[in-house]
Amino acid sequence: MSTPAPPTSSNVYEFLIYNKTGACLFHLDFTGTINFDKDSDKNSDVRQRQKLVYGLVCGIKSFSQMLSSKPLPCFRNYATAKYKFHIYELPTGLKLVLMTSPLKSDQFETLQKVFQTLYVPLISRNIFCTPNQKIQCKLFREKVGEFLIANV
Amino acid sequence: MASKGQSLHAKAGENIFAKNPKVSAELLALTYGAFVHRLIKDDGATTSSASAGSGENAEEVNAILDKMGYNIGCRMVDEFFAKAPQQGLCRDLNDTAKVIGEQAFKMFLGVTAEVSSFDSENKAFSLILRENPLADFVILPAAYANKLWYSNLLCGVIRGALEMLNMKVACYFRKDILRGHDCTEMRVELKEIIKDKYEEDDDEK
Repeated sequence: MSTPAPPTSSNVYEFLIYNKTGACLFHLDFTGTINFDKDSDKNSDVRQRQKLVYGLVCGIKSFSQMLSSKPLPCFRNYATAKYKFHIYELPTGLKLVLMTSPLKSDQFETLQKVFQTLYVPLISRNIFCTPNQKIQCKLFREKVGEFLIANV
Repeated sequence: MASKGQSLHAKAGENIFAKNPKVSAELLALTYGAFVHRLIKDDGATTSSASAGSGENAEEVNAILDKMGYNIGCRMVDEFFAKAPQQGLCRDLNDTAKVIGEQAFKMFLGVTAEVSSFDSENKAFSLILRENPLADFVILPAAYANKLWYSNLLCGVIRGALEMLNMKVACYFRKDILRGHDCTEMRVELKEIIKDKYEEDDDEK
């Protein structure tokens, strides 16, 4: 299946969606550096990367919870010199992860909007998409790409 | 729980309900009615005995409605969080019950369900509906009057939605206005809290 040329942007680097078991449902790369060809191979670099990001999310969540005396919702973002890592987690366990340039402000609301205006109408309400399974919807891929480039 | 007229959940539910696009209540009631009617006829036609109309397939129709409701509930939970993004995790079953009865029911059906009859261990509760928008204009025929739970879809929806939130529940009707009772009552019982299981890596074996 030939995919159209992926969008590129200098602000947004990557966008991933995970379900509550850690499966990566959706992965969009804006830097053009990730090779998705061997996606079916469980040992491929891209799969390792997806698992790494998920492990990172679980790790940081639990550390931030342990340091707090009161129950905390999920952390919102962290920044390094090279990138900023944003996350929006739903009570259902669905996690939307975004990596952007470190100069960008908190993208929590952007991720919320992606969920409300794109994920729910195009995936949750889509009879061809099973909940918590890998997202194959081309329209969703396009719309998310456009939205993130325009709104981050 | 102290309420100044209305609890927070009820207010939130009303606000969201007011902002959302609506469908005519009659359209919903008539469509649902036609649908249940069709299920009974189709289900009767596929079983070997000519049972459509005789009330024997009521149990199967109840099961089908529950299963459909389950599929709807799995998706509806995303819709709920899209419309009520400030809603976080509930502290206990009491909270969950209030969110379902006062907020979610209002958001999606336009009516609130009263929460009552918590059992001694706080693992079960009842939702009382004074008016059921699905059951407008409905009279159950005698053969089905004591076997069919007309709005069983709602039980499935609650079961599906809560399962996506890691709560395994059993949800069933206890009373139904269509059967001559004074109100419609759904019982929700928490069976277990499901722990998140991380997906197995087949390639490591």
